[in-house]
Amino acid sequence: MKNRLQEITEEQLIAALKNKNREAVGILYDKYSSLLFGIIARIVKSDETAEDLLQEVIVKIWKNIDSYDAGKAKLVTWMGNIARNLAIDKIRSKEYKNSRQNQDIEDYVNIIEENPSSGFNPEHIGVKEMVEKLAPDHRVLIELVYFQGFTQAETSEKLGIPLGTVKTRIRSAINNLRNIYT
Amino acid sequence: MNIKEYISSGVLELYAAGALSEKEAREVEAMSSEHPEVKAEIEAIQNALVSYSASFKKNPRPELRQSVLDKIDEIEGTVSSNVLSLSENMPGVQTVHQQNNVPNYYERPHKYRYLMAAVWVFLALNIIGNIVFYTKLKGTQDQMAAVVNENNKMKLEYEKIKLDMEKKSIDLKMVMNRSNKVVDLNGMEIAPQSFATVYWNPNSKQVMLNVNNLPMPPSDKQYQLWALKDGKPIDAGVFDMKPGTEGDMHMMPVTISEADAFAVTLEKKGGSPVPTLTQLYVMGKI
Repeated sequence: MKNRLQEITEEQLIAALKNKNREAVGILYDKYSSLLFGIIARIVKSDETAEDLLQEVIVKIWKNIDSYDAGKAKLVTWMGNIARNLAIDKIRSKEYKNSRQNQDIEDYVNIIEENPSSGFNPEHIGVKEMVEKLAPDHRVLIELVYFQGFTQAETSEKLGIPLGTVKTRIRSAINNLRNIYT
Repeated sequence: MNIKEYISSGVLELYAAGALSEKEAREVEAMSSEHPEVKAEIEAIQNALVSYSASFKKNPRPELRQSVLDKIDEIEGTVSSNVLSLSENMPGVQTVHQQNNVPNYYERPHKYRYLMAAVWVFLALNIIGNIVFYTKLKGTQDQMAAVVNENNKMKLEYEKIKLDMEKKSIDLKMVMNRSNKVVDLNGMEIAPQSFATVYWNPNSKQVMLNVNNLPMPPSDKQYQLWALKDGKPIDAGVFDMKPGTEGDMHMMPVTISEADAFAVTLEKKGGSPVPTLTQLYVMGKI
């Protein structure tokens, strides 16, 4: 039974979620929790906070599945954005800022260069090498914009580059990513 | 700006990374629905970002899975009417959508719900406790006031009794003085039942009078005590009688150095220089 359920397609999973089938939550969790948790943990830099947020994210997916439009984005993109937004909201909240010192660019670089996974996971073999293929300035840019929720203007200010340059740099950073991951 | 330029401007990357304002994002979405190339480009960017995110995959603690599922059950209620076999929920077999309008209260995270419940219980107990204590305190305060009042009364009473006692004890000392001459004054014709006692100390020359029985004088009159020496009357002072003070000892405000008899007459207020003999009430010889 379990195997059969896990073999269902993304379409079937979405339909089951929209029908409020609670078993579908388990499947969703098994398929995507490590991805979503990875994103959240990378942003909030605390596993404990990340677990609370992962729960919130799953609840939000469950409640808002009706607003998901398969025509606009893949399920994983939609869910990833929910996770990212919640986590970014968290680190931008006053209470969170007060509890943590803001980190500097150098720290981002350090985070990028350290092993992205704690604990052994076969999926992660070679991940570090892949990430390291990305030029450091590109990594920092994606880190700021994608994982820290910096706007174009904030990024421009943070990195001391003109506004227009942010656009062209993020373009080349993501092009770089596309080359690595396809 | 043509589509190629638009695609290569970097705006789609900013859109996918969530760095655009709401307004700018709507513009990109409008372009995307109009131009399939734009849509495809956005998808490719999104896929790249998801793949990159997947590099950071990380497993949460295994216990979290159950707690997430419990959370969903909590939101939806424990009645598992929705746990249908998945095949019944396959696309195309749309079942009636169950929309649960659970109040917000239940959507709060577990721990806050219990915390809130605990806070309410605590508050309720507190209020009840306060009412009980206030009522008790009020009662106690009333009792206290009554006790204080009673105490004050008793204190006055005590002071009065103490004064009385002191007076009596002085009276007694004087009465018991061995050098005292005790003179019984007996009732005369005008009031045969009357009787008084004089205690006269020839050494100290003090005179005390005990009114054993005399009629109440009219309000414009006063009794006057006289000492008699060889038939000659000497004023020994007036005294008042108040109802209920019969038997009181009167310390007379004069000194009498020699006497062979005492008498009481009823005189005008303040006394007279000579006794009115028709108003002679009591008299006695030493």
